[in-house]
Amino acid sequence: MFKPTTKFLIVDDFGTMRKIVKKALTDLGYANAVEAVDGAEAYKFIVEHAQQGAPFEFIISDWNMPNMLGIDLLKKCRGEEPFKTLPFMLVTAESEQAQILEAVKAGVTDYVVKPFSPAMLKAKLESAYKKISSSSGKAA
Amino acid sequence: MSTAPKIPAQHPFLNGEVILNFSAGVAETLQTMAGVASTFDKGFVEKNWKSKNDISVFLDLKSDPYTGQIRFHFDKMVLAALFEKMIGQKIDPNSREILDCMGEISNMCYGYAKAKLNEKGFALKMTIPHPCATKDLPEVYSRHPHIIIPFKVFDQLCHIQIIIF
Repeated sequence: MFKPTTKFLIVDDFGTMRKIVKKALTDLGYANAVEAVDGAEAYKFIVEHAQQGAPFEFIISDWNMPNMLGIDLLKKCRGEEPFKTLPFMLVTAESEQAQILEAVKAGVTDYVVKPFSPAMLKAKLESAYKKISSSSGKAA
Repeated sequence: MSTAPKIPAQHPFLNGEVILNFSAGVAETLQTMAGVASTFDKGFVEKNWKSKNDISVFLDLKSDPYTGQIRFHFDKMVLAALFEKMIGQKIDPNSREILDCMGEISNMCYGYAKAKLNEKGFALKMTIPHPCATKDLPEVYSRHPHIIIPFKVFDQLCHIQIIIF
C-alpha cells in the first residue's frame, strides 16, 4: 500500500464528507491530509504545494461541487505536465455508466460511489495502488 | 363522491419506483455510512403537509419536461447522533455543521435513488441540496398533494416528502 506519509488532498464542498474521508484515511494510518472546499480551491492548492516542493501524492475529490466540478479538476490536472499522472480518485454519488465512462476517459485512477464504508474506500485505495504500481513499474 | 386528494397518476414522480428508491437511498446511506438501521412506515398523500422535524433539506427533481422537489426532514438530535456514528466526534446539535451533515446525507440518498431510477429510464438530472431549519423552508406552490413517507431512525420519526409541480 501507499506509504503512511503519503500526502492526500480531500476535496468536497460538504465538510461532513471531508471529515468522513479524513477519518477513514486516519484509521488506515494516513495522517497527512489537506482539505479543499471545491475544485477551484483544490487546483490552487495543487499548484501551490507543488511549487513549494511538497506536492500532493493523491487527490480524493467529490464530483458535484460549486465553482469547479471534480471531473473538471481531473481534466485540468491531466492537461498539465506535472499533474498528468497524479493519482486521482473521484468520490461520487453518480454511479451511472456514462459518468463513469467520462471519468475513465479523463484519466481517473479510480472512483468510489457514495454511500461507501471505510472498507470500500480501503479496497479502492489498494486497487489504485496496484494500478499505479503496475503502470509505473515501481511501488508508489 | 370521494373527497380524497387527487394526484395526476401519469406523473412519473408518482411512480412506485420513485418512492421505493428514495426510501432505499435513505436506508442504504444510513446503514453504509453510519451502521444505523431505518424502518419505514406506510406512506400517505396530504395537501399542504408541514414537517414538524427541526431540520430539512430540499433538492429539485428534474426529468424533462417534469419538475418536482424532494425534501428530507430529520430532528437535529438524530443528525447529531448520525454524525457521531459516521465520524466518531460529537457535534453541537445547534451548530451549522448539522446543516452540512443534512446536506451530505441527502446528497447520498438522492445520488443512490437517481442512479437506480435512471437505469429504469427516468433521466433525473444532477441537483444541489439546500439544507435549512425547517421553519426557513421556502413555501411550495403546488396544486397537488404531497407524498409523505415516514420512517424512524433511533426510534425518532423522520420524513421524505415528494412534491410535484
